[in-house]
Amino acid sequence: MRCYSVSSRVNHVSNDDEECSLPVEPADTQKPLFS
Amino acid sequence: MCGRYRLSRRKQIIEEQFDTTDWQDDWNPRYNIAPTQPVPVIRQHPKEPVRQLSQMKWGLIPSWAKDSSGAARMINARSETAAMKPAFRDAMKLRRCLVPADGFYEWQRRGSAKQPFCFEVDDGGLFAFAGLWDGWKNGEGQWVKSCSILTTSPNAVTSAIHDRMPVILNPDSYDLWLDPGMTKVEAVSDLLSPATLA
Repeated sequence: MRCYSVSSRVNHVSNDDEECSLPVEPADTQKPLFS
Repeated sequence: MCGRYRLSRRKQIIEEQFDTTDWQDDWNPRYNIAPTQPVPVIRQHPKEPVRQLSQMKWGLIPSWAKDSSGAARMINARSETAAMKPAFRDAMKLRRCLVPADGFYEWQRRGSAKQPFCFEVDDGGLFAFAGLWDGWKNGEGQWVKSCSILTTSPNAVTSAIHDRMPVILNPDSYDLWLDPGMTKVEAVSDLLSPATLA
């Protein structure tokens, strides 16, 4: 098996499209916009 | 707990993979299936050697329930105790099913936030959760069929994220799990171990 982080879009039942299960960077490892 | 999952394959692919017949319902790929929604379920025909696909409400309503208000809390059944729980013990003996999927979601708590993760088998293909089902007659006299997904302790992949996981059956176990003539709960309970699928 494998696992990967996905968008918080999946939290909302009304979101039901391919984007719900596309890999994303975990929220707390995203790089800041400005550094 | 398994509270959301994905079944993004088309109807024909699902039918071919699980060798089913006579699925009358339409099915559009779903990426975020949630409790109480209609979901495809596979059962063995009680008298003929064929598997049947149909849709049921996700969240088991026991036949003896006074109303359907508890369905959202019955989306999962713990495999370790299902055979002893009034809501699930008859279903463990007599009403087992497969719930097809190609991914499921779990959330990892990170401080005050929760990060969702998607789990797949390594080839990203279809698999089947072990399920239980029941029929309940509503106030209008209509039968409502509903199902629950069994859970177990986590395997090496899921344990990093969550302390439970849905039971993913090995395809070699489908026939025994679905066999309506198999009423020995001990025999089918042995199938409910954490997934070792590639």
